[in-house]
Amino acid sequence: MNRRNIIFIVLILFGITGLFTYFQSLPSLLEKKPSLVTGKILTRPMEIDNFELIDQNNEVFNKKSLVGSWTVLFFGYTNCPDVCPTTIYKLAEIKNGIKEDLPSTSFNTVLVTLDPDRDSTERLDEYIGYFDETMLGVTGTYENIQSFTSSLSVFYQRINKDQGYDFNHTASIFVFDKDGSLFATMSPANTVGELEGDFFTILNNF
Amino acid sequence: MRTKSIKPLILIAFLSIAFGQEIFAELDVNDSWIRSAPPNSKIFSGYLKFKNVSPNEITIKKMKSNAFDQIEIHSSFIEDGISSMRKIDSLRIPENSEVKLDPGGYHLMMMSPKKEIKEGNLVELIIYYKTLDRIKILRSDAMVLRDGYE
Repeated sequence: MNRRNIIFIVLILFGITGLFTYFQSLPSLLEKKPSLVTGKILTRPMEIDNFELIDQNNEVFNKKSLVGSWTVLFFGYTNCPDVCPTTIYKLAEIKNGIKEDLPSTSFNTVLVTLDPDRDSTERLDEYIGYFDETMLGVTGTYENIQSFTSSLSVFYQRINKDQGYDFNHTASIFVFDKDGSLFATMSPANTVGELEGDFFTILNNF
Repeated sequence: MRTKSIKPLILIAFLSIAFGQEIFAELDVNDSWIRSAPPNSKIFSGYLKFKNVSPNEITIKKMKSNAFDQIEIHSSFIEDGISSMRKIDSLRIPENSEVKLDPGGYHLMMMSPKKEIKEGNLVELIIYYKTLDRIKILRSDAMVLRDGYE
């Protein structure tokens, strides 16, 4: 094989590698979606099944409740003294920031309980009202909470203790767009600054 | 002449007793606070900073308070996207180092309040710790606050 042929083969190989990389990155180049620090934006917003829950004001909370504004939703229970209040305060701070800097944005926050036995609408009213009265606290029957969590692939498990019980559960914060479709997920373990940055990324670009 | 030479010794003796605790402190507790919660709450969460200022390891063995039936040290953590809590039986604080109990991490799980836990109140904390094979007790107070010290 002469030198010319070798150079030709090498160039062809370069070309194939280049094309391969180009096509691999093509979808993300076409979508131009900004990325998040604390979680991820879904490739395309996911429509979820209808659900039937009830908020602390005894109003129905269903798929239609998500339409018309951005909704940030997470799962917990009012007997959780550490992570739940911490997440509520973080989201309240972020909501205030958005109200100040992006006043035209409608932005709701929702806690969905995994513990309908102890978290009645009255208890949720007392609990949510204490920490952030602008937030919605949502409960329902076992079956309805179960079907809502499974439509979002949320895992939860009751852990019995000497006194009472706790839950292990999916930690994610779920972000729904104005059409009520699941748009992004984030991890609440991040700082207020990191989460707020990501919310601004979403609200400024979509 | 004789009494004159004894006086400084007596003074030193008194001073050592008065400041002895300060001089020989091994464990400092700082920034203690309890997250206030709505009425009828049965569980509260407490946070603080343990500082081991001694050259020996300290282990926190248990905690008590006249305001709660039971206090446990817990750790909140996220593993594979699942948020869980685990009871910590004894918390190790290596020599000359600090361990922080912070929201979303280590915290005091304070159960069954014996009285109303109100914002602005001080709540007693009794800390049982072990160092050099001895159990010792330290008393401290935690302030009931909405969202910690700014």
